[in-house]
Amino acid sequence: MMQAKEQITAPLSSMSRQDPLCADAGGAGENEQGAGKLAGVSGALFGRMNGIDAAVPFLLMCILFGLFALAVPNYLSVGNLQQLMRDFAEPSMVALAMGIVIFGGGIDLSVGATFAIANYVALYLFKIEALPLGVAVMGVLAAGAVIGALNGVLIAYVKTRPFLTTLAMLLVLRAGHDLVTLAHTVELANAWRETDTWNFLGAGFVWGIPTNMAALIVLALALHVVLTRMRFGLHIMATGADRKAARHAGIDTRRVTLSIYILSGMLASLAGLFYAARQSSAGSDTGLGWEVTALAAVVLGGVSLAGGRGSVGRVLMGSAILFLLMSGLLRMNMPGGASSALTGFTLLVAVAAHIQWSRWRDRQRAIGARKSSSATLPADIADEREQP
Amino acid sequence: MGRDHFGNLGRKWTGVLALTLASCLMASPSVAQSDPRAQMRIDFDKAVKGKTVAWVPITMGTPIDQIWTEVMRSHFDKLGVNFILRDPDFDSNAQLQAVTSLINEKPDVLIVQNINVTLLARELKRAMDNGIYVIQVNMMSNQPSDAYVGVDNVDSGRLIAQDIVAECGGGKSSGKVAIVQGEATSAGSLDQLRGAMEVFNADKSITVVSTQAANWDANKANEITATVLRQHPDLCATYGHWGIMQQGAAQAVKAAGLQGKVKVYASSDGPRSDCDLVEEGLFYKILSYRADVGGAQIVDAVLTLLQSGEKPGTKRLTLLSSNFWVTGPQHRHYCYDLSPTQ
Repeated sequence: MMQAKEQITAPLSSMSRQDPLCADAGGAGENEQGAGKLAGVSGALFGRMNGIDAAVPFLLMCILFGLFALAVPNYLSVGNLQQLMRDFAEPSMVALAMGIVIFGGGIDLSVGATFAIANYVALYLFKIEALPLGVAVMGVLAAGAVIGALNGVLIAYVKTRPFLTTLAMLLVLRAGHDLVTLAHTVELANAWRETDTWNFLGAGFVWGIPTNMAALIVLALALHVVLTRMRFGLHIMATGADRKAARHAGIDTRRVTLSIYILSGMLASLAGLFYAARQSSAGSDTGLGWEVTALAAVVLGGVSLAGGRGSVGRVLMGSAILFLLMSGLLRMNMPGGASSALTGFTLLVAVAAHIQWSRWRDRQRAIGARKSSSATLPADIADEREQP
Repeated sequence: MGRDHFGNLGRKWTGVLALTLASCLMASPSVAQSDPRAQMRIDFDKAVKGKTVAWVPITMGTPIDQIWTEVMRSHFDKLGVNFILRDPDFDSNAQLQAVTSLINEKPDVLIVQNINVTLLARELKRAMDNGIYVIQVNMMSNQPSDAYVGVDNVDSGRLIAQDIVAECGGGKSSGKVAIVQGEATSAGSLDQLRGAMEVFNADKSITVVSTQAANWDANKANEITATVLRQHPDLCATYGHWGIMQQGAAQAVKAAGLQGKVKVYASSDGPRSDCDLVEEGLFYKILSYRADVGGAQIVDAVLTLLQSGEKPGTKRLTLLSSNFWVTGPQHRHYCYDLSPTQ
């Protein structure tokens, strides 16, 4: 695995560009480049900056949790914590679906609609068609993979813009969702089929942890390992950091792009499966606006929308901040509109702070890299990046 | 001496009087217990005062939820009942979160207006299993609970459809009818549609040309109706499952220049704006019930359950709202006004 990292790092660093892949790994990558004493100093500085990047959302998450623990009675009770985890899991899976695409330099606005379609497919296959749960699960994941593959093929091979492509997919899927749910309204409303395994997915526990939360933990760990320790993960980050450089380094960026959209679709569909088992609800507002929540979670976690920079942990922290804020305000009897407005305002502040911080950090990096390599760097290193 | 004697006597009588008064005062509760009128209030306060009632509407952005909340709050404040409101603002996920968190907080009564028939089913059962009385208002879930307060939606659908058949059927017109559903998976829409289709299917002169869901959104109802009118300019009637939403359909009929030709029906909860549209001729007829009266019925259900002594989940109480046809200014009193603060 280290070999894979070196294979990517060497050609990218030879292009006189700061390697966001290495920078994101807590500054350790800079030291590996071994560009002399100055590079070591700048690496330490970048490491600290990345530490601050991760510390801010972590602190914010802890502060919010502490505040609501003080303000809301029984907030720290076992029952409440279990319920919080159960409610947190599915939006976080959708945030991860968004995050994985953003790491790879794209954006997926269809994650909420994919989630809604998956929820419908799960209910249809399991409750109306009465198929075995295993078949229903495969069907749900296949639906997510097909949607992701459509996005991926259009973006990677037909070269359409990710923003517009996934926006169009969102509209198509939403309309499709409305049509199919309306066609099966009565069956869905009266479908009572349940099995122990279905109930385990929706309301069960694994060592005291809700099933969907346990699945999220396993997924997050697996994704973290893939992104930081495996060749495929490094290819995703390299493609997101600088598509051109990644291509020059021998990475098949088109295949990577296709893969991340398929992965994103499958993650969103898995969330839809758990949601279906938990709520058995095919309402028209299922997953409505979840793409915005997912994007907000990614931004609040400090993940760069330009791609190539971020981690699974940050996405989950961003998701937790947003979830704690929204559910906490609801529990404090805040009027619905005010709660949404306050969440939007928090997001605005986070985005503004993130942009200012990123600019300052990039400037510091450019200065550091100039000193270490004596090579000319563009003032704004994000210029050449392929924007979503 | 004589003065001393009378003085002693006075002190003696004073002591007797004091003892009598004290015994009267000490005996007063038992007097109250033997007085059925006084006892009634004592028992009522014991069962009701200090109890907590939690209310989860669909959204506080509609007149019906505002008037229900206003009526409930005013009654519960006077009776010393703690009243909690959680507004999910039309978000099913937020509504589920609100209900699950409230179950952990263990109020004495939980009142919910279900977004759809399945979303809260599992949680409502959990609430009753946890000793919380559950009241569902206007739109039930698939899980029956301690009480249902609201309109009989199947009956409303049937009544409106019968009137449409009387106006459009039997060759009097094209017989074409469009139905604008709310949220298709909600009890309000599912049941009204069921009642209406029973009647329409039984009359061959009626053709239902469109049944689309506008998800309680007046803009969407407007778009749907405008499209239906382009396809069927000879439409006889359009029937919407909620007055506020159907106002959009009424505007589409007016914009198409078909006001008076296409009959706009709606099932209404009686906000003033619905009555105004009837008077302006944009609505042909609305079948209304008074949501402010419904609010008082919800309070009655809460008080009944709190005094019942029954274990939550063991009995079923149903309080139905009465329907009234509103066809003109003579029926203005069937609509309600929100207080200026709302």
